[in-house]
Amino acid sequence: MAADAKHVIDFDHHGPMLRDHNTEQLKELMYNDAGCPMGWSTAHNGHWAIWGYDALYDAVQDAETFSSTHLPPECPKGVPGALYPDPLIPIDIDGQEQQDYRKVVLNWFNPGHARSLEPRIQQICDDLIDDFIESGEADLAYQLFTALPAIVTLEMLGWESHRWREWVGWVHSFIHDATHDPELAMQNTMLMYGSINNEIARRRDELGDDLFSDMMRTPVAGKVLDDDELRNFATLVLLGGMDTTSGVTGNSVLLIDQDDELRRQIIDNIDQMPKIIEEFLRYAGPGGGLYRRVTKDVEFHGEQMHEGEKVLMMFWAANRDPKAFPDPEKIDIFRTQNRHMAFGLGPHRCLGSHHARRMFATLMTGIFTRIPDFEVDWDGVERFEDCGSVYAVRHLPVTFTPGPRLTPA
Amino acid sequence: MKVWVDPEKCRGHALCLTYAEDAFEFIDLEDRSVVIEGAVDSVAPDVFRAAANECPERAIIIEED
Ligand code: HEM
Ligand code: SF4
Repeated sequence: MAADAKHVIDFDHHGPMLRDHNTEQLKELMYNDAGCPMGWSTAHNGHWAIWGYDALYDAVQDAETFSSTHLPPECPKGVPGALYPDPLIPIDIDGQEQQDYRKVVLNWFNPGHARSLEPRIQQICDDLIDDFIESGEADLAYQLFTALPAIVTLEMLGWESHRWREWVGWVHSFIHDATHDPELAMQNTMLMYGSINNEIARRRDELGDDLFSDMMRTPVAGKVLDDDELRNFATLVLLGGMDTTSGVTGNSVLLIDQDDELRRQIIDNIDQMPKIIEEFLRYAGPGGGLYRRVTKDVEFHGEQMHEGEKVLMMFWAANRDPKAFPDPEKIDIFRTQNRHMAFGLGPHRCLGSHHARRMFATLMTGIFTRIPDFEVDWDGVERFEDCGSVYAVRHLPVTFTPGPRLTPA
Repeated sequence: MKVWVDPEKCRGHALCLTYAEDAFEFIDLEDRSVVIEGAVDSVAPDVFRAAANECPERAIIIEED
């Protein structure tokens, strides 16, 4: 396949190079001598990667040529192919069916609903910071950035949020172990599926006023969702909800720790947080192994693509394309025309984007008002091993001047 | 000036609400935005232009007079 590719590279997005030398690797892709917006990588049995902004824009808007579906077992989605045979809902589905599934949850995933959650998000953030602010040290990645989105997601679903550590453990394994330790990932996925099944069983006789009950009661094309569909839908909400927001917040904090001027700018403009976060979504986004499958032979941005080939959609690379973002390596919190693709574009635009933006802004405001002088203990920083699926920080230890709790213990 | 949101292109990112909350409103169950009726007269043209510049789907269409 793709023996006729013009721009051939050996690029492993699951490998340590991209994790440890992220900027250099993304630049190497972008600034190739031939000026190609995409290339054929020989890694993982071969696949396309698209990193140019315009090419990615065109691909993501053309879902007929660039399909989001699996074809198991011959061609499971992803690079390497997904371990789990079932399509996740709605991300592995195309067309009207995908839009119909989205409608089931739009009541919960619209900008107004995200706004209505703001007081609750603020409360959770305040409480989590209260837990460590008197001690002068914390693991921000785990205690705050991971905890907050996990608790918010579980509360929306109507599941016990005090069990967030368990859910997060399964989700992290599903995402980050799949390539390196598939057996472990599979074990944890089975535990997660078991717990989702328990939630289905618990609601069988009496539905409640929560996102998961709505998933169970709302028909799609005249039929309520069966247990498999419910599991595949809930799994995606957990994956989307738990890992990505934490990733971008951790990535941002690490960048800011290395740049005193940037830190000062943020503190001085803290009331501009909804706009400031857009620049960090552009530059520090969690990336993500997002894929498409070519459905027909097609000539695309100078390359001949063939039916059945897999495509890695590098939204985070496109977000640093100099053709779309002047001086792309500069973090400019006042940047305009910031049409980044951190949440994807087109029909699969991230359903959780409104919630993610609120949570990210609340977390950033919380840190820069309550522990603005934090210093990262770089020896203790640990990234998730596999950044090919989500580029995120597992442990982010900091020290800071201790401060007062907002609510007495 | 005429402004509208192309319903085929809009994918509900809601950045128009971040940049011009007085000019756009969201239709929740259709997952997209529209220009608030009368906003073209009450909101400054530059606010619309700024919002159009941030829309990643290029769905905000402006026809200058
Ligand atoms: C900063 C945080 C986040 C980022 C960067 C992010 C990124 C993305 C991207 C790029 C896509 C598009 C996938 C594609 O085109 O194949 C997507 C889809 C999705 N995301 Fe997010 N996401 C974030 C947070 C969330 C949250 C908090 C939730 C839920 C609570 C969520 C739920 C979803 C769902 C359900 C989809 C599938 C939409 C569809 O296929 O129609 N995401 N996300
Ligand atoms: S920013 Fe653009 S795509 Fe998003 S809701 Fe507004 S008009 Fe639609």
